[in-house]
Amino acid sequence: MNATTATVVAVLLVSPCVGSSLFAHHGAAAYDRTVTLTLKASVTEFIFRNPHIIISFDAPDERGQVIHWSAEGGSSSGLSRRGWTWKTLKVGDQVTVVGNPARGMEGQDKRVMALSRVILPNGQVVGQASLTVP
Amino acid sequence: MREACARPIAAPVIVLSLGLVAPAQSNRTSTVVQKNALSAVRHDLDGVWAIKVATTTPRTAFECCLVDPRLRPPMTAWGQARFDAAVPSSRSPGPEGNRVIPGKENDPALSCFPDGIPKILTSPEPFEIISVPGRVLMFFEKDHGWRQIWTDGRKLPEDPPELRFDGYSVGRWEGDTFVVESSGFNDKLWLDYYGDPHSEAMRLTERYQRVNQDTLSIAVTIDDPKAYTKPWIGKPIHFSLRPRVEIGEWYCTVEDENRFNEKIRFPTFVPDGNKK
Repeated sequence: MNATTATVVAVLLVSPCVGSSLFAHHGAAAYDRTVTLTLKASVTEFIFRNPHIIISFDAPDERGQVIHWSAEGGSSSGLSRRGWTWKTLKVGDQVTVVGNPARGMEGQDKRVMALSRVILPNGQVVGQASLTVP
Repeated sequence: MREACARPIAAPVIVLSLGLVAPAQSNRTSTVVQKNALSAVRHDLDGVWAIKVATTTPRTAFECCLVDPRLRPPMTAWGQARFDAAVPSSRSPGPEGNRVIPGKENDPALSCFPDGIPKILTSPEPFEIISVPGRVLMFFEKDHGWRQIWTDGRKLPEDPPELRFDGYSVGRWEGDTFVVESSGFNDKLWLDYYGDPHSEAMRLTERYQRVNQDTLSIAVTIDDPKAYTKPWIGKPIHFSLRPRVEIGEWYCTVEDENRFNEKIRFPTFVPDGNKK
């Protein structure tokens, strides 16, 4: 485990406030924090910009239908302090995405989630920024 | 702060020198050194600071709040109309309850307006305080913006040439408290993330105290007779020193904001009303 990976994992372990505190820019009321989805995803776009990074990906639902997801993370400036870079993901990456879905979008072929973390193909976990600036 | 520190820092040096020639007084000298060192720290606000995460209930994004909506004075008709028109991004702890409608929020920041003073103080992004002769500068990661607080003895402009998002600010030391007074704001922004309004008449007082090496507190008073029937007094909120953090770049661009709205924010609106 390199230093960056260690830092990211540590953040995941010590940041209990992630769920409630991510999105000062627009709030987090849209998301159902009682539901956590873990999805096998194929990355279709990775935007490492403010106000929030966006990971777009395709993932099959329980019936095998492909759902087009957009997951928002923290700010790129904040995530840069957490080990993320603009090269962390690229189109075509096969990853595992964990997050909380937006309410009321069940059954749609396009859905939105609040990102919790991504597990990269090499097993590295990249976590979400919290308010706890290092 | 460099200017403010010049005299307090000189004192412990003198005391230390005296200690070398008067060892019998070492205990008392040590106490004096500690007090003077603490005084020096208290007059030094420079550094990168980040707001502490809330520990209050309901747990919001930030330590709640610069001014607590639960203690909000009655609004004027003007203030109430502005408040009623606001669809905030964050659930307020105030008596109005949850007014958030995901996808329909109209916080000016979502149209690339700056957060402005004082709202940006409760942004989770860090800010840096830098003292230079005649000014204290605040450099905010959010909006990548600079604020100038004049410490050269000038007064606030009685008739400012323009009304600003950050207003005009002057500062002075009162004991261990750095007091900042501001006016000359425009009325385009909100006081906070909950849609509380402010007008062009707002006079803002901030009191900065370095509680210890690692902690800064800020307490504000909002005096805005156009929006509120009496001053709104906040309790101190706290910030942690982050010596390893460099201020990053956080600009709002129309392209980024539009993309975010189209991909994330707007799709989360569900027409069945307010989603709790």
